[in-house]
Amino acid sequence: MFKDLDPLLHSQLRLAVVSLLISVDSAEFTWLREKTNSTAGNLSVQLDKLSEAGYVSIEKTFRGKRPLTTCKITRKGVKAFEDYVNSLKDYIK
Amino acid sequence: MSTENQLSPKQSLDVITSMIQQAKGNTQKNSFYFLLWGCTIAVANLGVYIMLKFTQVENPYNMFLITLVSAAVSIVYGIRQNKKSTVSTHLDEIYKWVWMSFGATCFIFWIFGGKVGWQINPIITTLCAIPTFISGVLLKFKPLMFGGIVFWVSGAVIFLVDIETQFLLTSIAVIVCYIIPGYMLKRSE
Repeated sequence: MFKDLDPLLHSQLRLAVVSLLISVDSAEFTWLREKTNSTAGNLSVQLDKLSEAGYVSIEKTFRGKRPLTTCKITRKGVKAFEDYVNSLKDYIK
Repeated sequence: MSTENQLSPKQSLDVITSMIQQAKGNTQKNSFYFLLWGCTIAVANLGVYIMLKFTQVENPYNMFLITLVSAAVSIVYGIRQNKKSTVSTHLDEIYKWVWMSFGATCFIFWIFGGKVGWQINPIITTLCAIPTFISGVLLKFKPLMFGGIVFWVSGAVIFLVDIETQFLLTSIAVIVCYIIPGYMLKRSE
C-alpha cells in the first residue's frame, strides 16, 4: 500500500527524529531521546541507519570528559523528508 | 516510541506534527545580554556625561573601558550557556549572527570614530535599532520591537544635539530600549 513512501522514514522513531531535526539547526542525542521518549539503545540504532543513508550527520565530540553526540539533518535528509511528506499528501487526497 | 510498526498516513502526519510541535519554543531568550549590555552602555554614557558636565577629569572616555569587562563576561557566559544547551534552533543561529555582525560593525566605528567626527553615539544608537528590532521579531516579543523603533527615533534626535548631551540621551535610550525590555524578557523566561 505504501510502496512510494521512503521505507527509511516510514518508521515511527526515525520519522520522529527527522521531524525534530528538520525543525532545529542541531540537536544533542539526549535532547532527541527526551523528545522522542525512546531508549538510548534504540535511538542510537535508528540514528546510525539515518546516518548510513546520508539523511543525518552525526558528530561525536567530548564535553569535558563526557561524550557528546550532536545530530544535524543533511540536504539529502531534507529532500527525503519533503518527498515523504509529498507522498503522504497523495495518500491522504 | 517504537520503531518498525507500520504507520498509516494519519499516524505519520501525527508523528510529524507532534515532533515539530515539540521542537517549537526552544529558542533561547537571552535576557542576560540585554541587561548586561544595557547597564554597561547606560553606566558608561552617564559616567562620561557627568564627568564632562561637572568635573575636570582629563579623559572621561576611559569610562568605556568597562565595555571590555562586559565583553569578557559575555564570552564566559556564552561558553557556559553553550555547554548547557542541548539543542540549537535556526532562530538561535540567526539571532547569534545578527548580534555578532552588529558587534563587528560597532567595533569598526569605535576604531575609526575620528573619521566620522566622533558622532559615534548617534550612529551606534541608530544601528542598535536593527538587531534589537529583529530580536523582537524573532522572539515575538513586542517590547523589544518597540525598543528597536525607539532606537531609530533616538538616533535621529541624538544627531541633533551637542556631543555632551549625546551621552545623556544615549544613556536614556539604552535604559528604555535594552534594560526595560530586557527585564520584561527575563520575567517572561
